[in-house]
Amino acid sequence: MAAPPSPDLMQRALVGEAAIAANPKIAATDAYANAIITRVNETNWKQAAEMGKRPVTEPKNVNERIEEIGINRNPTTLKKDRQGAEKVRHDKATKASKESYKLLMNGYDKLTPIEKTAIEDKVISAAQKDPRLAIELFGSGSSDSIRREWARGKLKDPRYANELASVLEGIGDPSKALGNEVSMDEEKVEDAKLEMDNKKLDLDDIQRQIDFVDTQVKLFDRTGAPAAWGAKAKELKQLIDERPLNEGQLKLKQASLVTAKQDVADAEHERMMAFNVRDTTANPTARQDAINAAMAKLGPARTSEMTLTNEVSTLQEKINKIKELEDEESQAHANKTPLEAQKREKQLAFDKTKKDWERRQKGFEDAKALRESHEQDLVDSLEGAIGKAATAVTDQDAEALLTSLNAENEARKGEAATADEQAMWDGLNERWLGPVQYRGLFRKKPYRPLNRATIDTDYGALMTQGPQESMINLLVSRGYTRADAEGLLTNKAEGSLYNKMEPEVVKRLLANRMLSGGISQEEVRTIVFSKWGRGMIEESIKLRAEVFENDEKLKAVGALGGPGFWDRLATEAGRSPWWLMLLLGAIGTFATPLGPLGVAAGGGAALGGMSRRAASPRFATDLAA
Amino acid sequence: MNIDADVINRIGSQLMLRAAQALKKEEFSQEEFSSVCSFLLDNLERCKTQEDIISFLTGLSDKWPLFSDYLAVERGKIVEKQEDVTVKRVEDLIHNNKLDEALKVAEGGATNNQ
Repeated sequence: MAAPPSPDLMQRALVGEAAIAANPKIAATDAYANAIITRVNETNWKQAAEMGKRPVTEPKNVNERIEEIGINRNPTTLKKDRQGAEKVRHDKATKASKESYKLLMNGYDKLTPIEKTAIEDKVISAAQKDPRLAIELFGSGSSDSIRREWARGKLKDPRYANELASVLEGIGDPSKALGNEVSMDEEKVEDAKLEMDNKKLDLDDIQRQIDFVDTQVKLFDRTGAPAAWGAKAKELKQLIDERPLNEGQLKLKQASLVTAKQDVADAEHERMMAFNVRDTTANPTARQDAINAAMAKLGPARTSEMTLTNEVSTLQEKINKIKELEDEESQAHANKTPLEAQKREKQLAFDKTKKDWERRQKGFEDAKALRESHEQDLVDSLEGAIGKAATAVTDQDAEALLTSLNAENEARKGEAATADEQAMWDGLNERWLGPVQYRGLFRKKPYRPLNRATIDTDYGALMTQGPQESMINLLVSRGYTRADAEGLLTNKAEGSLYNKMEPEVVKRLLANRMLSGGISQEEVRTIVFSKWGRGMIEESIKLRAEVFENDEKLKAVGALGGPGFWDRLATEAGRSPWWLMLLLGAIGTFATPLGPLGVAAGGGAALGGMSRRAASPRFATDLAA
Repeated sequence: MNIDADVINRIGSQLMLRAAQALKKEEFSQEEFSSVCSFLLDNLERCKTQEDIISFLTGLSDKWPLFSDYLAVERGKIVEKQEDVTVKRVEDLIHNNKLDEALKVAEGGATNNQ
């Protein structure tokens, strides 16, 4: 196994990555300054200052986030070695980041037609998820050209660059760094693996010893028929079986050996004696003859002695072998016991390290999966930044509208002639707003989001039962009992609480519904053909004639009350619920989340973007006034 | 003396260009640049008179000294304008034979311009 890389090398690799990410900083600042200069020269100082007010997220931060993608490293250099899905994520994030910064630095107008189309697609794609824009932009009356015109309006909106910068700033936020925890986890897995492998070697060593002992024990195995016994068990059995015969023979052979030894000794003695024989005249070879005779006896005697010695030895060995084998068998069994104990110990140690490794491995896999999902989130955020910034501009418009509605509520509250009216206005101010929240990364701005739950409840009641139920809910929200509220709203005569407040409640409820979820075409028809809806439209058109003087849509629908008027109006309003809001007097004539819906702009041009006035901070107060 | 929107736009554009150049040369960080932009947006359009402009530029220079040259130039322009106005008034008075009054205006102008 390769040696683990040194921590120093890892440190150097990490520093290197940070440096790579930091490099684009200078070039980006330069481009940013140039973009500001261009904006001063081509538009005016205010737009340039608006752009510069929010510092562009240092691409360094976003680049750092992008460079964090991937955990696979070259084992030698430890540099990131992105392959497969990691490479795809890195490439996508880089492409999306470059696209966003190009738009931010150069502005929409400086992009190529292909780039413009791609960016418009992103804005449109984000809008598709926005219920506030659903019908106007994606309903049957809309078209690709209307959507693109609307998208261009958003992209050229003076606020757009700030929003995009803000989105990128959020993505580059150092507190969202992906970090190197996964690499650390991987190192821990590797350490745990080394530890486990080490314990495995110990265990294997013991196992080898046990296997050896087992082989020995197996030789003495007496399981089944003797023919199937281990070799040594069979041998031992045979030796034991033969022991009486062998012992008997041994005694005989030992006795014979004694005799044979005596024969050898006698023959030796005779041979020695033969050397003393003297030759005589009568027998000149007497000495040699005596020697030869002695030798003739000595040879066979020695052979006999040797044979008997061997036979005794063999028999003795066979008898002794029994003891040896018995000792060997008991030693084999004796050896196995401590080895088994050691094995249990080593097995335990190995199991522990294995479990640790598996736990770390699982943890690493989980961390890797989580990391991959975080990396994907980063890619998605970068790919969605352009659309998200457009949605943020839409949010600003929606918020301006909401502010204007609330400001109007506040102003109108003063007109309340009775405590019940006052309570109703207070309810209008409170019931459809949630608790205070804060937005913005650094300069946190308090705001009150819409309370979808209460809006949905009251809107549902409006659609199915008419305005009274919503009005009761408002009073109940101000501490009235339901019975009291119902009692108060029974009188519907001219000048009654019901009569005065019904249109106010309906207008605001519908506007809030548009801002929180939108109104379907079927619901538009319900409103247009309801007594209360129709009454409000008639009154609004009559009382605000100057507002509708140049309204092309209304002109196309025809004269108020003429043949087919309400049906045509319902169809037109179904295509543009924001226009219906205008007809109902639920909104002013300026801002909608769709852009300005002023009658002068009208139709497709109305989708072109936010008017300067609507974008102005003074807009809400102007409208309220 | 009241000023018109063109003067505000001229000053705004020049200051923004100067600030962008400073950003380019790394005399400003992006954060400082952002603060300058906010300062301009928050204060420049509130200026209604030349005195307001001088006060605005003084505040700007106090915060970011690299604009102090600009303050000096702008102050010079205002003095020059005031001198032109004084000269014109003196000429008018002399033309109308109001010599004593012309002398007073001239003396006042000289004092103001010191």
